[in-house]
This record gives sequence, structure tokens and C-alpha cells, in this order.
Amino acid sequence: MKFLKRNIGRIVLTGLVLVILFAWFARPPFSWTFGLLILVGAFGALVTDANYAARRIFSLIPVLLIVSFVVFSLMSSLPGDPALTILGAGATAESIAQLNQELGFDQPFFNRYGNWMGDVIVGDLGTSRILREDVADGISRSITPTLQLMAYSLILAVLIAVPAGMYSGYKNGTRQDRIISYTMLGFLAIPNFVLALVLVLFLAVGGVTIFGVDIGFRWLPAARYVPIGAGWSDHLKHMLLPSLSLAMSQAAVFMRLLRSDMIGTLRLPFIDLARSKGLKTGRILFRHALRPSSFTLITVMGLSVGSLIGGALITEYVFTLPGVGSYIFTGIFKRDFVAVQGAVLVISTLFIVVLTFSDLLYLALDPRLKHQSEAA
Amino acid sequence: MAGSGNLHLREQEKPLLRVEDLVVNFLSAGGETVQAVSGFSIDVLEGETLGLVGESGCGKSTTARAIIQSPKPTAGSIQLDGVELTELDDEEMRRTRPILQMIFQDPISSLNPRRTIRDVVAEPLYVWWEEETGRLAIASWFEKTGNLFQKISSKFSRPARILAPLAWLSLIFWLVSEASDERSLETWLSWLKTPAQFIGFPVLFILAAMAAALSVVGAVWLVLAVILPFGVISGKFGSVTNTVGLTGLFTSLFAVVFLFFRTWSSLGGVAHWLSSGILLLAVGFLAVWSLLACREPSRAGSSALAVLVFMLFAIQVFYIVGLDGNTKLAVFSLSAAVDGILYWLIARRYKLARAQMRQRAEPEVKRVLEAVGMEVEGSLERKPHEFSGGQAQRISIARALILNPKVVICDEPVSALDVSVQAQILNLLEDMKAAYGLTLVFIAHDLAVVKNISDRVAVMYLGKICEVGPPELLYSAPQHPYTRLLIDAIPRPDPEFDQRNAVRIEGELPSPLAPPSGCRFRTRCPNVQAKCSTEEPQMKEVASGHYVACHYPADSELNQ
Amino acid sequence: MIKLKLRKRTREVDETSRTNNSLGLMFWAAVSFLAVLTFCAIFADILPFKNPTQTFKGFNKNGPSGSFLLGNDGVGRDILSRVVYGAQTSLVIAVVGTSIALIIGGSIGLAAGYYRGKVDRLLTIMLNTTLIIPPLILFISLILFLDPAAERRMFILIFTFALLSIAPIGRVVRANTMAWSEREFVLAAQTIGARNGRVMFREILPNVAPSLISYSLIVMATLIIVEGAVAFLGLSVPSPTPTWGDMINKGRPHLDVAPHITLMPALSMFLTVLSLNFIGDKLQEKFESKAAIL
Ligand code: SF4
Repeated sequence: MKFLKRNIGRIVLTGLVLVILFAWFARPPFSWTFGLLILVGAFGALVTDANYAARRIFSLIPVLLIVSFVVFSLMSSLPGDPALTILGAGATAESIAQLNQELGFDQPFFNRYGNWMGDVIVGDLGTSRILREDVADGISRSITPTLQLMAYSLILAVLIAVPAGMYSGYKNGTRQDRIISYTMLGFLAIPNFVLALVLVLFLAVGGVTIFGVDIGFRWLPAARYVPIGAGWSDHLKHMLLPSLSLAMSQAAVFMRLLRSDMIGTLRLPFIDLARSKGLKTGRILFRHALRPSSFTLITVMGLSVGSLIGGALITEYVFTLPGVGSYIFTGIFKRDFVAVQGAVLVISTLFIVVLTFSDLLYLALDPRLKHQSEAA
Repeated sequence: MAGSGNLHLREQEKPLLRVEDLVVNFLSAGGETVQAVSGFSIDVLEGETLGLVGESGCGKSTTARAIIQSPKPTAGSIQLDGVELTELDDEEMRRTRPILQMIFQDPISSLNPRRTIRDVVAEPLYVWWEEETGRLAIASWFEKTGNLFQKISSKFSRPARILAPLAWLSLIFWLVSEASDERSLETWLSWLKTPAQFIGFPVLFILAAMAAALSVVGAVWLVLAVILPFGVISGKFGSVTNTVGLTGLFTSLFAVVFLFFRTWSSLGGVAHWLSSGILLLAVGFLAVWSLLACREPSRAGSSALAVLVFMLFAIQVFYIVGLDGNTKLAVFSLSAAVDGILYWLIARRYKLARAQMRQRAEPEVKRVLEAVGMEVEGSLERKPHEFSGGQAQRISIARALILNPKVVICDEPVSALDVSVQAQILNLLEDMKAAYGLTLVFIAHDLAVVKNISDRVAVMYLGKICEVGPPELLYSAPQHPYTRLLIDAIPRPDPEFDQRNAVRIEGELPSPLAPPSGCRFRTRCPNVQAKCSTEEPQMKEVASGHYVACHYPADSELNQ
Repeated sequence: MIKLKLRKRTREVDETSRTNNSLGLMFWAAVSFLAVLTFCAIFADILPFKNPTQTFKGFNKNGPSGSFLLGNDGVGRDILSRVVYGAQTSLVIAVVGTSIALIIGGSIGLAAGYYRGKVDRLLTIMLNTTLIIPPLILFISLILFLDPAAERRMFILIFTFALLSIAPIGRVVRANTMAWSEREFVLAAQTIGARNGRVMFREILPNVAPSLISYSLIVMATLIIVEGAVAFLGLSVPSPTPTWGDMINKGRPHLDVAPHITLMPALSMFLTVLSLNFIGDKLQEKFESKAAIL
């Protein structure tokens, strides 16, 4: 209560700004992004310090502006005349000029950027003439498989990394530790598209035949996306291979981090205290050692969303999932810049929001940092 | 405690070091102001030892660092031998540093773990010799060239400050336009391709610069872009060593830009992308190299050189990958041979110069190491971590003494050491003081440590001085409540005295973010009165040379 | 009240759990693999490799055999020589990209960590701006923006890879420099009158260098993977220049009949990256245990 009283002004202000933002961005996919932003802000205000959370959220505004500017200037300086692409080779000079005028391409760069930003702020990412569809709708549709893929991979990676990292940190220096560490180092060295192909080869298409012996299975489907609506088990079955191939290298990164932090934590005196109280090893590991060891892991998990996005694009390509990756690639190959810049903007925004979230989470988990930010 | 006023400064005598109204404020991580030192004044006469005592966190180390100007204090005046240190610019301060040395608390951490004791102790000499020899070498070069560059640079230094950025801008524009001209590009390329394979990159670089100079426009801009900054720099920086280094850097930068635009617009095939990456790297290498080359070598310099030599080699290897099959082996062996000779020459020069400098420094190093009581035999080539704390502290003292300083600030030099070693180091400092005629500022958190070696003791609390006086008076008749508490806290060898009855200072040190009003000691003072929270006590003389900042000092009526 | 007696953990326990100081057989195996690969890549023209672009009629999708050690690809080219020539591309991009990032990121990190304050804030902002767009997306955009017709793809690849590696390297150097700048020997060097440049390059850099070197090996490994991914998407150096990623992609349609077309380049990529990671790890371990003594 004291906390609420002390920070009431900040909380109201933050809330107000966020509500206004939300109202502005009331169209998907931006409504989710900013819905997420509100969650992040509220979360941050609750677990850390309202003042700090508000500052973090506000400091996102210039960052988002930079991103939008970079994206827009990159896309708008791509060579090739978009009007010509739309109209095809048979276009006359007048019709091109007319279309350019219609699309606003005859205006100066900063005017175009301003117009575009104005539209983006109200959630209008433009209309793709080539895909003949509203870009915001297209992204909302195609982002679902991508987000699913990323979420499953992150969950898988954590599920693999946490026990492996804890066990191998606990068994530091033994043979078990070395086996786990080297295996994970191996997974770190396999690019996800290679892993995807290998998994497909051995688990989906039947594997290789060496000296007449078949090594491999036909357990899982190799490609195709099945939405959740068509049945959970079918959906998960189809998503397993893509998620697994994306998850392993992340799991390796997480596991190595957790392992080294775990080793550090297990050397601290409070673990000795716990041990001398007669607690069981498992309890010590999970209840006492896991939390202080997971701080770096959480920051890195936030950062890993960047490589997850990149990996997801490639995984989608391998497994022909209709996600944002294929949306962007179609856009690129058809020279549909409106679609591409919209998709890149949305992804980058999501990325930044997730980064902020992981920062706040880190702050919430590590009481030392919280103390620092309060002192500050 | 913690008074203001400068009554205790001895105006009539000429102090060697005089600190007046020193204020050091920090910004804390959250943007609040930490008042580490507020209005600290002291003076130290030549040959005197000042003991500065206070709890940890009271600002004594901050004071020491403010005196050596790193970081510079927020306000106040620090005079060393009549020179106002706070007004010196960085370069002037740097030149003043040899007479003002410091010894640090943590003996191991104050020695670079990667260098041998010989180099650690001789480093001050290297620093100043290198500048001297550098300056001499460049000076003779100036004479030979008829002072041409100096003339140009002095003449152009003012306009160059305005023109140089313009020149650079124009150069870039020129390069862009030049690079878009297909025909001239081919000529550039043909010049660059053939000799580079055989002669190696320094030559390639010179060729590139010459090629630029060959074009008339290029020549004009080359003059503007390279020689004018020369003037700017030599006007700005005192040392010519830097000037030549930076000129090399500028030239290489120029080449980077030039090559970047060239490769940007012209390269297509495999061989060419390779060469473009390589050329960029090569000029990067040259930039660093030209900086290093005009300095006298030392251990670290030569290891940096080794890295660069390896890089140059790698660059060539990758350049050669891009060549056609049959010429590859021939080109490879030829260029490797040429490089080998080149590297050997460079390495020899560095090795020689390094050996010379080592040799020149050796007697000095031995002298100071012996003076501080170190076994010289066998310790010169060892690394700091092979020594004990006490030995490492002796090495630190040797390093501080090698430049023959006037003032040495000892920042808790014994608090990280074993008690048995403390006395040795204290005695050593006394001896050194006598032998070298030093003036010491001795910082400690414990009155006992400074008792015997100080001529004057100042007690500090939360950024201010409480009491100053000669040790005889201060220890026998402490006036300030804080001093009394500190003296009571000194363990006594008296069996009658029950240590547990010793007075304890209660409470914690208040936060320097918001120091208490009035007397800063009032939150913990046993004698606190109403006046203490409203009025800040001023320095007053209680006995000859004994000053205290307290409203109710020990001898005052109130305490009787 | 029961007082808990704490078991005092002794230093020896930690010492024994630390890995022994020798680098081990695996390390040297990794080094020699990389050495052989680099040697073959550099002298591919002189060594008896087949022409990587020549198609051998009738050998399509053949498995490994006496004359074609790793078999033939979908159109009958020799996979071994294509792997070796592909190594050229990967290694050059990784090494040159990392070196450029090392020079630029290293100096930025050194300056930011040493000067702190405003310099640090400015340089950190510079580093962070390269991180705000997810790497692969930024990468694809840059490639398409800078070089749509694949005329100087290699140059662009190196340029963008270097750009993307500057921030991670810069951060590592900055953090390390900050930690070392706390040490009093840095203040001591300033006190004897050394210039900032001298302090940075002679006092701090030699201490930062070990972790920098091992980290840059890991960056190199990452670059090889990213190059593979980009080539896999068909955006790396255009054919006929062989690249591993492109070979993997081209083998996909034959995955069920002739998996070796995909697996061979994948394996070489895997081994290269594994070796680099392993060497980087081992070196770091060694330097760290050494730094703990200092
Ligand atoms: S008596 Fe008053 S002025 Fe003197 S030290 Fe105590 S609080 Fe300060």
C-alpha cells in the first residue's frame, strides 16, 4: 500500500499513456504488440519500480522510431520500380506515373516516411497490391505459425536446458558432465537448417540405407502446417520437428550458461548452509540454487528471441510453414516492399518489447539489482 | 564534527602541497549527488608527513585521488609547489605527474599481472624516455627537411582547423565521383593488382597514395587532407611523436575511404571481393602500425606487433586464395619471403631498441629495488603474482620512487598487509622519506598506524576535517569527540584495561547522499547539543598548531 | 538456540574440480582439423582436387566411391572438391568479417570501457543500434538493399557480417575493459604520466586479449553458421561458386534417395563450427583458470 501511495502519480501517468497508446494501435498486429507493452509495463511496475518501468517504456519510443526509420529507408531505397512490378512489363509510361502518384512514390522521401508513419500509428500498414490483401491482415494471419513455432521451441529449449544444465553443473568435472557438455557443444555447432534436414531424414522420410540396413523411421510428418483448430495432437505432431530443430541450438546456449552459473552458485556459502540443514540435494538444487543461477539465463533468453526469429524464418522455409518468414520471402521475391517493410517492422517491434520484458524480469528476479535501481 | 574554515592553514610558511576548500561530488547511479568531500583544506610543508585518518567511506581515498587529479575535483584549489593543479590541462598535468606519486592499498592489484617486475618498475622511465627520444628523432628529421613541415603546420594551424573537415568532406565527395567513373577505375585496378602480389602491402599502400596523388584533383586534396591535419595536430598536441603517428593514421584513413569506394563500385568476381576485404584490412593494419611505429617499443608494443604481423600474413594468404591456380604457389612463396625479411627487420629493430632501453633502465631499476629492500637477483623477470603482499608493496614503492618524486601519497599502504609486515613497510617508508627527501601524505583508517610517522595528523569524518594537530597533542589531549572515540578504539597493551569497556562509536556512517545538517558527526556524537544540528562548527585553535571543529570540544566548559 | 556449524569449503576442493591445465587431445584434434581444412582451401587449385564445377555424366547422385571420395551431387559434380572450395568461401567470410569486427568492435569497446561516462554512453548507443533489428532480417534486408543483383555479394557479405559482429565483440571488450580498469595498476600507470592510449594498449589490452581471442573464435563459428543459413536461402555468393549452405539446399530434393549430397557439406560445416567452438571454449577455460591465479 505504501508503495502504491508513493508512486500513485507515476502509475496513473503510465497507465494513461498506455491506454492512449492502446487506443491508437487498436488494429492487429499492433494491438497485440502494444497490449504486450502494457503487460510489460504493468508487470514491470508491479515487480520492480513503477518509476523505472515507466522510464523503460518511454525510452522505447525513440528506439521504435529509429527502427521504423531504418526499415522504411532500407525498403524504400531498394532498387526496382514498384509500379512497374505491379503493372507488369506491358505498362505504359503514363500508367506507371499515375500509379506512382497514387501510391505516393513521387513525393520526397521524408513526406513518404511521414505518411507511412502516420498510417502505421493507427495500425494501417498499407495494402499489398501484389498479394492483393491488407498487410496488417496478412501479417496477423501468418504470424500465428511463427509465434507458435518460437514459443514451442523456447519451451522445448528450456525443458531440455534446465535439467541438463543443473545436472551437469552439479556433477561438474565428472564424466556425466563431460558427456552432456560435449553433446550440447555438438548441438551448438549444428545449424538449425541442417538439424531440420537430419531430423526429417531420420524421423520422417525413412533415413539412410547402409549395407542393406535401414537406419531411420517414418514416424512424423515432414512438412505442412496444421492449425490448432484442426486438432491439438495433429497440430503438435506437425510442429514437433520444426520446433525441435529450432530448439536444440538454443538449448545448448542456455544449458552452457546455466551450467557455469550453477557451478558458481554451488560454491556460495548459503548452499553449504542448506546442506548442513540436511536438505535433500534435489531440493537444494531446485529451491535454492536455481533462482540465483538463472539471472543471466533470462537475459539471454530475451536476446535469443532475435536468433529465434531468424531461425524461425529458415525453419519455416524448410518445413514450408505459412509463417512470417514465408510472407517476407514471398514479399522479397515478388518485390512487394509494402508487405516486407510492414512485416519487418512488426517483428522488430515485438523483438524490442520482448527484450524490455526480459530486462524487467531480470530486475525482478535479482534482488541486488532491484536494490540498486531503488538506490538510483 | 566536520567543520568549515581554513584557520589551520599555515599562510606564513610556504607549503609544498596546499589543498583549499576541496569539494568532490559524484553522481550516483541514480543521478543523486554523493558529497564525498566537502570543503577539505590542508597544507603539507616540504619534508613533512601528514597523517590523514578516518573510517572507510569518509572520503580520504577520494581526497587522495582528487589531489592527483583523477578524477578532477568538483571545486577547490590544489597547489603543488605553487602550481595550481586544477587549472592545468590534461597534457600539463601529465607532465607534472612525475613529482606527485601515489602508493596504493592493494599491492597485487596495483601491479599489472602480465608484466615482469623489471618492466613494472621501469615503466615510468620508459614512458618519459620514449617521449624524449621520440621528440629527438622527430626533431632531427625536421631539421633535415628544412623545417618544412613545421613551417607549414605553424602557418596553417589556424585555417586548418576550419579547412580540415571541409577537406575531408570534399575528399569523400571527390572519391565518390571518381569511383563512379569506369575508365579511371580500370587504371587504378591495373596499378594495384600486379605489384601487390610481389611486394607486399606497405608498398601497395604507398602505391595507392601515389596513385591518388597522380591525379591533379587528388593531389590537391591529398595536400589539404593530410598536411593540414598535421598542422592542426601539431598545434594542439605538444608532442611531435603523436603528430607523426596521427598523420600516418589520417593517411591510412584516407586510404580506407578511397579503397572502400573503389572496391564498392568495381569489384565483381571472386578474386576481387577477396582483394577488397584484404585491402581494407591492410590499411587498417597500416593505421595501427603507423601509430605504433613512431613510439619506442616495449614488451606490449612488440606483442601487438606480433599480432599485426600475423594479421598481415593472414591477409596475404587470403589474397592469394583469390589468384589463379598456377601463379598461386609462386606468388605465395615470393611474397612470403619478402614478408619474412620485412618482419625480421621490423622485429629486429624493435628487439634492439627494447633491449637498449632495458639496458639503460637496468641500473636505475636495481638501485630502487635495492633501496626498498628487495632481492634483485632472480626477481627482475618474475611476474607480480609470484610475490607476497609485502614484497609487492615494496615493488610499488620502488615504482613510485624511480621518478624521484617530491610528494608521495600513500593510500592505506599497509591496511591490506599482515600485521607483521605492516611495521616493515612503515619503517621502509620512513627510511625512504629520509633518503629521498620526500613529503608524504599518509592515509589510514586507524590512528595507531600514523602515530609514529606523522608530523601532523588530520582526522576526517564524512568529507570534512574534525581535528588537525601534531600527534603529541592530538593523541594525549584529543579535543574532538570523534578523535577521542578513535583513540579509545586503539587496542592497548595494558592488562588493567578491559578492551570491552572501550568506547564504541555507535550507529553507522550517515549516507553522504544527505549528510546531517550542522555538525556532520551529530548523529553519533556522545556530546551532541541542540546547537550542533543548526550550526556548523568552525575550525578554532585550541592549542598552538592544534585545531578542532566542534562546538563543545573536550576542554570546553561544558565538559568539565 | 541452536547454532549451525558451517562446513568450511576449502580452496582445494575447487582446485580439483577445475579441469586440469593441459588442453587435451580433443583440442589438438580440432586444431588439426581446422589446419587441414584451411590448407586445402588455400591450395585447392594446386592440390589434386577435381574441378568443382565440372559435371561428370552418369555419376549423378552416386554415393562415395574410389574416384569420388565423398560421392557426386545431383548433377554429377565431385562433392569433395565442392566441399573444399566451399570452405574457401566460408573461411574467408568468417575470418575477414571477424577481423574487421575485432578491430572496430575492439577499439570501440576499449574506448567505452576505459573512458566511461559520456564516451561510453555514446558508443554503447552506437553498438546497440545494430542490435535492435533481429540479425537475420536485418541481414537479408541489407543484402537485398545493397546488392540486389549479386554482383559483389562477397564484399557485401563480409561488410554486413562485420557490422553485425561489432556489437557482440564490442560488448565483451567493454565489459572486460571495465573490470580491468578498476584495478589499481591502471591508476598507477596514469599516475606515472602515461598517456591514455598507452594505458589502454599496454596495460589493459594485454589483459583483455585472451578472452577477446577466444570469444572471436566463437564469433567466427557463428558467422560460418549464418553464412550457411544465408546460402541455404540462396542469398550468398551466387553459383557456380560452391558454398556449403547452397550445397545443402541443392541436396534437399534428393534427401530420401541420396542423403550424402546434403550430409557431406553439412558434416564439414558441423565439424568446422564444432572445432572453432571447442577451441574457443578450451582457451577461455585455460585463460580463466590462469586469471584466477593472478
Ligand atoms: S559536540 Fe556537537 S559540534 Fe562537536 S562533534 Fe559533537 S555534534 Fe559535532
